[in-house]
Amino acid sequence: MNTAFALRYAARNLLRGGQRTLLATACVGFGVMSLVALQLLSSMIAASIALDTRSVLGGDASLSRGDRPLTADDVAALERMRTQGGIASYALTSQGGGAILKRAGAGRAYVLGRALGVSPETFPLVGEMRLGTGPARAFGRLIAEPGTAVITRDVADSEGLAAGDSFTLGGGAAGAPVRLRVTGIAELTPDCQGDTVFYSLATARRLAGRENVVASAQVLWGPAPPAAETLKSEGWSVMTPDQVAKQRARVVDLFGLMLKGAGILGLLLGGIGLSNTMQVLLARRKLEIATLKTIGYERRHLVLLFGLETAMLGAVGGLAGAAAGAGLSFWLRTLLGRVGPIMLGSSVDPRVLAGGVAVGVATAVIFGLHAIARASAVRPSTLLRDLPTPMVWGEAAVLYAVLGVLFSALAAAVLRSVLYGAGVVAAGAVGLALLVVVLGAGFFAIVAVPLPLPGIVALARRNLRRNPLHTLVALVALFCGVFTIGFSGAAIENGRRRLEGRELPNHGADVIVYASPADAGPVAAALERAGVKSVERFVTSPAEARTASGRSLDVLRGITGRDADRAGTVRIVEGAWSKGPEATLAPARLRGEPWKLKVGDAVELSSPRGERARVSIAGFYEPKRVSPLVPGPAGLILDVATALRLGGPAAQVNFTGEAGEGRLDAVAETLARDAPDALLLSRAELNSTMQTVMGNLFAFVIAVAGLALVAGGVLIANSVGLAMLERRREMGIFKAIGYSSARILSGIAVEYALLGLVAGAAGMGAVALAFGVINRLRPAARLVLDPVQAPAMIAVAIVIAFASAVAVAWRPTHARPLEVLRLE
Amino acid sequence: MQSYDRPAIEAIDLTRSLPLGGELVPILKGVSFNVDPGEWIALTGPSGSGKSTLLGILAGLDSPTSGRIVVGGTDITRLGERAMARLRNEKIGVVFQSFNLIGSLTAQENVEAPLHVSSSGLRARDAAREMLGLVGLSDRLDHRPHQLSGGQQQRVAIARALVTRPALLIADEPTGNLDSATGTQVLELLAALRRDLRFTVVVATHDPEVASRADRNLHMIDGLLEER
Repeated sequence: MNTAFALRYAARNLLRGGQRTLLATACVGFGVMSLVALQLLSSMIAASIALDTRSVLGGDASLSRGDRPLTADDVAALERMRTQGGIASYALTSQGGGAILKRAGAGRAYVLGRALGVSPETFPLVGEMRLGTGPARAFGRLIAEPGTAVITRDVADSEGLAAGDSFTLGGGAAGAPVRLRVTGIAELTPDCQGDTVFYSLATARRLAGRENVVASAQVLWGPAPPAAETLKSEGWSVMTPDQVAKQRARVVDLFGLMLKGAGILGLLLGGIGLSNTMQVLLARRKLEIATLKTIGYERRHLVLLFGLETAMLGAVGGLAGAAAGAGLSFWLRTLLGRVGPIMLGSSVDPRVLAGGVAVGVATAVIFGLHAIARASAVRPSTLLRDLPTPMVWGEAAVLYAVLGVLFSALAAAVLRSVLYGAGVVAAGAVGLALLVVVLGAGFFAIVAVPLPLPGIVALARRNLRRNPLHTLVALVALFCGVFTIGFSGAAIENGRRRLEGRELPNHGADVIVYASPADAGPVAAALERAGVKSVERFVTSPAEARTASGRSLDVLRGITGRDADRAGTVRIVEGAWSKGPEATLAPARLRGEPWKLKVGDAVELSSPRGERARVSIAGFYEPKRVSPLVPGPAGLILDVATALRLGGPAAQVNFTGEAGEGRLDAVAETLARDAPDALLLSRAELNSTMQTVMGNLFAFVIAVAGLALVAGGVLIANSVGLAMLERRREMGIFKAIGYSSARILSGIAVEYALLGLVAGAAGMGAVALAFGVINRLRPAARLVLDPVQAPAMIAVAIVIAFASAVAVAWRPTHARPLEVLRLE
Repeated sequence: MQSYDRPAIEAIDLTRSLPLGGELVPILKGVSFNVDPGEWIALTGPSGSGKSTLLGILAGLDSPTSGRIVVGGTDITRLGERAMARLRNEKIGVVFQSFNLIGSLTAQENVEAPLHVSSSGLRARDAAREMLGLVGLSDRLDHRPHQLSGGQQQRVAIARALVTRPALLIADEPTGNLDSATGTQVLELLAALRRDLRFTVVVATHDPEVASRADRNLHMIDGLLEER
């Protein structure tokens, strides 16, 4: 057959197809858009997470001593390794020196992602620390002086900080809050993580109120590196880039599989929509097909012609989808970037875009196969009388099998795994088939049950029964969209509520203030003036503890000074709460190995500033989490005076209280005036980062899940388009006997609104069922469906179905009856 | 155009039943006739008599339930789909009442279409232009069907049917959708082309004028044939 003629024929018919061509293109475009967007996002994540694991790790290896800080002896050992050639260089890092930041003069605090103390002479060993001003090598100089810090760009923008500004850092497990000065802003960090403050180890010691703050050492191997086994035998924990790569590869692979898998499912839905639409497109050309056969075209020629047309459609849809997918990936990247501190790079791999177009072509041809095979089987005698196209069931079965294999191959190419490709497609197909059966049975039971209904609704029910396959496809697509959004939205909303602490016993405290001992008095006075109720004070101090026999209790992290426990932060499991400078409550785990402590045992305490105390164990406790705001005890619990004496200026004095609704700003203002270096954190702020994260995660998940809802709308439009084609004559007759266009259109609108209602109700019912199953299997989950969300989602489903149907049916229902009847 | 010693068409005891309303209804009940090469046959009869069904079988668009039909020496009842398609492309031209032009193609492309099954673009283009010239549409080559009048569309259909120089032209109510003046023009065109290109014509018609131009009338009634 002449190629130029075939191409011309294919291109002209695409243009003639009008709305149907657009719908088919939209189906392909939607599928490609899903795949390209999620694949690009997966690549961006992979690039950010897995890029140069040495930079992520900070060197050739990271050495630590398990869960205890490095001592001076450990640092000396590192120095020895360096002089002996085992390591070329090392950088020391501490973490957790304070998690709350407040700009000078501001009222409210900001919960930081990371506060990192580093050895300024050598950090970073690898990777790039790109500064806003000045060369990267200036980083060490910028933090060398105690009390200075470099912050990442996102923190600077969020808190309005610039070089030269001051802020207070403290809270968490740190000592007293410390004022720091911004000396630089990092545009890019070696491990691509933002939301960070960098300072020197000297500053870290001030923040922690103790000497031993180094958590790990990043090293560059020298010419004669020690064997990993040697290091381990000396008590070192060794983390290598390979281990990091493996961990991250697992995350990257999982993320990639999830995102690409979702993209494949989007492609599957798009393909089903295309298959539907191609049936409509080609069904309208029955006479033309019969004419071609009359003049000598064989089935194979028609398969070629329609295949070419479908491939062109796929190319156009693929191009549009790839472009839309690239745009969508940036939006999703922005949303996901706000979910975590990782700085996601933005990149568009042209290979992914080209691949998207190729996938569009392949998907269109694969899913158009059935329609092409059916159309090319039209008998030429159709020109003489309207006969049904013969359905050869064997051929249909083979076609579906071929379709399954081809699409699985496509999925395998995208996922780079035959197993995953076939698995995703099989799971999708089986899931869809099950849905068709379950939903179909339910739906037709509903529409078949005799009920006294108004005429228009009864007619709508009857019409929905006429073409079960098209109705079911649309129903399933809409159900999938409602379920996906309903489930993910409700699950995240549950998580958000849990974070806000509504599920936890309400202790009542909604604010906490971190202050130095010097600021304790002014803070207490300020809180009283501001009308904060139920104020409780407790102290956190660094201290080392040893048993009477000299055994170190280095598993404990400091001491807590409390005069009472109105908050109920501990549950006493043995002994009793005793007041007095010589009594202490110890964590219950110290009763076990290797310490085996008992009530009455003595404990020697010493602080970094040289103060000592000897206390006796009055009881043992288990910590209780009462609210996200009230921290649990750190280590031994003593009376306040003893804790303050031991901690001295480095002690952290905490105040909790109830400010009440709408009074936070007033409290913040009073504190900012009277105790500017105190850090105020409210329950809302404590969760604000996570709320923002959850909010962005919600938006991200809804955006991805929303693709399923879009697919539902497209398939509804297809279903209506097919129905309009088949019911053209019927509509002409109705008009001939006096029905108006509006009446016919309203009947169709009611039909599909009914479909939307069933899909929405079934979708949200399935969400409720899923929640019930999850709660039963995992009672701690306590997932609850919001009473507003369910009807809202059902309403959304109805609106989508209604709007899609009306948009497609508008023109056919307004055609003149004579045109329609004459054509028939 | 080849002439044959044997009849152009031999129909032997043709029957055709169709499933209508859940039962098999006999449409043709044993039709036998011959048509000589170059003859113009009019197939007349009331609606439902089986004219279109018989025409469909003659054109190779349909198969009889029983009986034999030989066209140009070939027993088409035994042909497979591929061979039948080749026969329709090379030996039989068909013209319909409703023209059945391909809407996305121009007049020239519609006429080229049968040639593109197996020949090169250039030959098809020249042949189509020549044929459209013969039917008087040289100035309408690039017009799409919706830009042509009914008579012009039928002329394009005739050109398409004859571009491969078939031995047999089947026409089903070719003037049915045309006004009388236009219909007369189309008939005269057909007659002229038949003289020049020498092909056999079988026309199904209700129109007495069409029937009067035929060499012979075959009258169908209730699935049976009588010659008039």
